[in-house]
Amino acid sequence: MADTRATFVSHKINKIRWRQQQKQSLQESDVFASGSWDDEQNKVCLWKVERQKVQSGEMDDGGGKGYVESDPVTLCEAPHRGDVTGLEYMGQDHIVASSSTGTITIYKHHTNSQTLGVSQQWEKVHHHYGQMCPCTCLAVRDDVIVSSGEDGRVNIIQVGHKTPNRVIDKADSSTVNSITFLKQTEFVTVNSTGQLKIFDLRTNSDEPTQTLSVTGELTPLQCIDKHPSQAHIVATGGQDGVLGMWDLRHDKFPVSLMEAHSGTVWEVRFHPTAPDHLFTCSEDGCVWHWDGSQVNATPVGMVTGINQITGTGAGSGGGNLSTPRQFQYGGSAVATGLTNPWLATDIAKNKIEITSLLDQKSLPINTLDVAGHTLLCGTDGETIFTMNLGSLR
Amino acid sequence: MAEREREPHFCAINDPSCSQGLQAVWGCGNQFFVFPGKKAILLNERRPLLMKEETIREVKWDMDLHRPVLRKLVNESHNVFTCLQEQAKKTSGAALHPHIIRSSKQYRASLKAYSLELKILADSTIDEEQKQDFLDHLQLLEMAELIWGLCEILFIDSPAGGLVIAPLLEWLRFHFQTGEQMFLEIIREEQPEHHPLYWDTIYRLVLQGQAEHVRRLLSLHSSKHSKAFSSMDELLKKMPQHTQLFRGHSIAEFDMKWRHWRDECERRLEEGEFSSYGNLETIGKILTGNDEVFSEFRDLCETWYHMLVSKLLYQNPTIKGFDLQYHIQVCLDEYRSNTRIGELDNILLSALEYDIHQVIKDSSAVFSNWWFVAHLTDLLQHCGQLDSHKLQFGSNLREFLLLEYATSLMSHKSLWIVGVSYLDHCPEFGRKYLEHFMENISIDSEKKAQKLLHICQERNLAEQAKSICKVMGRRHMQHKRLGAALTWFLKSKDVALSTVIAERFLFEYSEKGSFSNLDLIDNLGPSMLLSNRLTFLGKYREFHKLYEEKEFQAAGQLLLSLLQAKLAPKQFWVTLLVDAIPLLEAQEVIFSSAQTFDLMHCLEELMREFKDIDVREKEKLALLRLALTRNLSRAIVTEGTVRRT
Amino acid sequence: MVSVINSVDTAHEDMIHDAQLDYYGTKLATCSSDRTIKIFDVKSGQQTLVSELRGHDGPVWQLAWAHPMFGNLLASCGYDKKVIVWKETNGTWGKLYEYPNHDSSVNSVQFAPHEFGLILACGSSDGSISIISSAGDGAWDAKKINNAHSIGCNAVSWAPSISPGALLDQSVRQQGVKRIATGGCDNLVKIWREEEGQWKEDQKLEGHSDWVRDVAWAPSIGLPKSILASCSQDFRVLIWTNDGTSNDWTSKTLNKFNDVVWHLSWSITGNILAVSGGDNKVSLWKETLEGQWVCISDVTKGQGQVTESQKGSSS
Repeated sequence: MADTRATFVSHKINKIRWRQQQKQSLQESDVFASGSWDDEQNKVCLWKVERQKVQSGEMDDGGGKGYVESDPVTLCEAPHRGDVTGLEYMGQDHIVASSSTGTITIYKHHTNSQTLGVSQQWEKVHHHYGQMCPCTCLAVRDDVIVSSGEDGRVNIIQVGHKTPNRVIDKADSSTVNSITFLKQTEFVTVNSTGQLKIFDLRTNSDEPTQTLSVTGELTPLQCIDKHPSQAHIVATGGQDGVLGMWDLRHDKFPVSLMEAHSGTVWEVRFHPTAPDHLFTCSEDGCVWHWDGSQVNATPVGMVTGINQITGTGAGSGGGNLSTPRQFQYGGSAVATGLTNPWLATDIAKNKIEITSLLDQKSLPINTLDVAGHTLLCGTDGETIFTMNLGSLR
Repeated sequence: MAEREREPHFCAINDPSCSQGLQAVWGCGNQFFVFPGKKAILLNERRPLLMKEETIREVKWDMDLHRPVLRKLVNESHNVFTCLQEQAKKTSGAALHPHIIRSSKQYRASLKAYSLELKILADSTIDEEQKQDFLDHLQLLEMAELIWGLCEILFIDSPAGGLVIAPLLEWLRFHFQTGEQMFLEIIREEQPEHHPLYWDTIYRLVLQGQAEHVRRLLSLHSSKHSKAFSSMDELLKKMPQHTQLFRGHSIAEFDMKWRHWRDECERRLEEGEFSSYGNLETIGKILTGNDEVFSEFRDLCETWYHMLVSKLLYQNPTIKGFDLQYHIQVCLDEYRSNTRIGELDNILLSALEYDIHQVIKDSSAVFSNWWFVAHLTDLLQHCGQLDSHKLQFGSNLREFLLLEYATSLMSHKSLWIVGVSYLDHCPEFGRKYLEHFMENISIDSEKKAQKLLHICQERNLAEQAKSICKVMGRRHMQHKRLGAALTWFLKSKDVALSTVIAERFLFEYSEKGSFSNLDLIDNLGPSMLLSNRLTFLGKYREFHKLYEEKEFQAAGQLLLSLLQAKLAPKQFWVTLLVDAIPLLEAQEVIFSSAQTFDLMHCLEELMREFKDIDVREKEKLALLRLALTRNLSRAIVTEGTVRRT
Repeated sequence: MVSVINSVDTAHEDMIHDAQLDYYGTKLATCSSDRTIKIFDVKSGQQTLVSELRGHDGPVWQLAWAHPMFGNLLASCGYDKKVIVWKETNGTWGKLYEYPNHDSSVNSVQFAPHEFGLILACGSSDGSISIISSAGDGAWDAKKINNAHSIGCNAVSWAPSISPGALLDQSVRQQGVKRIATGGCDNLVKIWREEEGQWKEDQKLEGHSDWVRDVAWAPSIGLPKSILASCSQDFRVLIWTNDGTSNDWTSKTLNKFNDVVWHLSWSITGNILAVSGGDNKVSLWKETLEGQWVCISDVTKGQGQVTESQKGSSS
């Protein structure tokens, strides 16, 4: 079970993001940004976590257990008009935030003075014929920002330019809830009718190059994350609490759908350096850790052989595991061999271990981010949870 | 009940224009708008003088929980509260009791933590007004802690055998720390006995029963080896400790031991063992429970309740909680001359008199928010202290206060969600309150709407859920986002409005000749079955797709079935029939003779019902008639041929 | 602690007669003798004038917001005998419907609970009450109760949509009963009920000795009883209750004030009643667990910052 600290912060957290570490840096990031929502005055805050080395016998290859984290402390903050609906680091010291007022803002973290200032802003790039419209999500790749909103519009913005480089006015009939880059020139959106659309910036067409969806369902997809090393694998979370796995190379439909939470999945994240681990957080107040590292523990040839004796079903592991109510593996099982646990066959999938990281059901959890050994999440209970996961393989 | 005899809060507006009368309208929760003016002036009423300044004022109350520091308290204590309610669902009685005690301690710990935070804030604030504000709140928090501590001992923890002195001493030490602080300071001195407060500190510690600390200080005295000092040390060492009571000693046993020890104190005092050291003699007097010496130490005790506990420690160490009240008056009298009995004193008094009702009543008047009384009353309820035979209002009181607390949270832009959780635990009115509040929480975005919807769905608030979907759908319609609007109407299975949207799409098609929102329409799936119009829309799109894919046979069948099932609005029949023309003129025969007759039938029906079809459409229909006749003959021919082979 | 946290300068050129907050507490509409209606955005402590509506030819007496599920709709009534329904489309307000069928000043207007659809009631100095409903397709239909109050009707208030009895017996969910309370210059409070499409007088409540200025039906909190408050030129506020099983209404004097009381307003959950009027005071009243009505707060015109407390007089 993870060590968990709860910090009460006096505002609801809608987005939380670790600062990116410099490449080659071996140290874990200790600074993160948060964005608030649903308050009279919202803000973007930067936090720092102090880590203290513990002189203990239990040293697992420099793993996270060797550290004790303190409560995060505020470094600096800046007011933000409207809800912070999206938040991403751009490099080390720039943070991009999207707002429910339809505006996108880049904040600069002045590390010398520990202050946060606005460095660039695109006002009301999302709108309903000039009337206010919430921007719901954004993604950043190098110095390009893509954003979308309740207006179904997608903006492609280049830092330094005054107006968006390109606007796809009718990218979606419904609301786009989440967006992420697949490659330099390709991004994917999920919407309120359960569709996943891939757009290619190299084409001039405003039509998506590919549209995927769960058949016969209009259940909104709320979040998406791309596998850190295999760009064709994405995970989505739906309003029905279902975790979806998609192989963008193959089908129009998800590889698998796993009934998980009892409320909307607000965020799904692969661990950036241990991608066999996945995390979800939900309106139901739970954070789950999906551990796929055991899926490939058995050589692929044997998988069918041990069909009957795979006793390590989900949730039967440790004492703190919460057993999900029910599992349904739908879609077409695409056998892709050993390569990735998330695309594995149904039988092997039983070996995904699921742990509930917050055992006390509380108010909705809107956001999470994970880096190194530490998982962060932000809630409607005006709380930031900091969890030490130990070492993940 | 809580407000009875409480003086109303009073707020004055300094504005001459208010002298024509005032009016007020409610906002959400504890908020309203006040404005000068009068309702409609009736025909034969005199018109008041014209007023120039027409200002509306927003008035709020019970807002101090909205401050950042106290919001932390709100959120943290909410976790404690919900945990306890969960436990109370599973267990009750003795099994629940440890959970209640733990919750009580957690509430106090939060109070402590945030009073520390307030103190730090106050210390670092330069602005005088703000500093004072912090200090005022700090004072309230400390007061809450003090009352809570006492209530915990008397009503919640209820120590074994009703012996209260030991926990009361702990309570004293927690809130009166001068003795302890001075002790730490003095032991660091080189010559402790020369510290001006050396003896005062010793007395303070004796009054709080801290025998070990006292011995330590005495051992630092230069005369520590004198007979008098050794004798005192021995007495203090022998002093029976209340902890023994918890180690299986019976009360009688402890009582006997204590009497023994006191007899010895008295004997040594009488024999003049301390006579050469006045201070030691004074300690001796305290140990033997001498009334006069307590009066003398009025200032060191600071308050009547400190004196009460100190005095009873040495005079009646096995006193039971219920008997405390008989000793209060004497102590109160000691302080009567210089201080007025304040609100805090009254509450503590009521508590010591076991008048829970009064404690809650007075506390709700003293504290400017409902946090304290709501949470304390909840604990008392779970302890069984509010059973109706003990209190007139029984569990109503708990709910009454929780509703007040929840209402004050519902008035806040962010904390409302915590309010929802408290309403969940009000069995009688919580649901109705929630229904009313849900209609009044502003929906700023789809995300917020989804969250509100989730709250409704989890609690089966069907009406409110429907209302949220309607509001969202309407809003999207206003912004001409028909697709997004439809997603909301589908969510609430709103047949009427889904039909409206479907008709708009169809209208758009007949205007422009093409569809928008195809990503949605083409993926409606089974949801299209919600309304006939929507089904028609979906099927009609299918027809177009089949046609584009050159599946003419299938397209033709679908078109016909659409006409026959009468799913299409009549106004749209023209479009449908005209759509048939290219199929009728296709190379192969698509419509059989029977089907052609059916199409002709539809055409006739249309002509009958719509007399005023415009000229252009009439032309189209004439074309259709021609195509139908031609097709009929082709069909008959082919059918005849087929039959023959 | 009650405190004034914000003030909105309306810049109306004459007396304000009504102010109404929309369902979400984000928009405040005001109306005045200067013939205008103003709409302010009052989100997060800031107030900005969004729109000014002109269309009445005399003082505008009262306003009412429709439930947002019908879009942004505001109804107004005035001295010019008119009722106007205003609608916002893409940020601009315009007239949606005008009802001209009264012979004298229209004093009061209120939308029905949204469960009944888009319906509003209004009361006029001509003594009649109109119930105006929209079918949603732009067509409006009106029913009129003539001679409802002799000399004039001053106030209308809709009963909550769920009839109290329905809560006790879920199987008989008779949500359909529409009821209105009205107050008039005949010193009476009357309750009207719709039966088979016809409005009929259900009750006549006698208790006031002078013109009734306002009536306010309390929101239902799930109890079988109905609660109604009325205030009058006779300086008194009466609380009327009906146990939900019989047809009897009993009244209790909340308080006798020092001047005419002309405005009543229940909080969202119906647990607090705000009373205001000619004594330059707004007082908040709450029913205790013992069933006593007590004053809990007072907002008043004063010279200093805070004046000394006045003992709330409980009945």
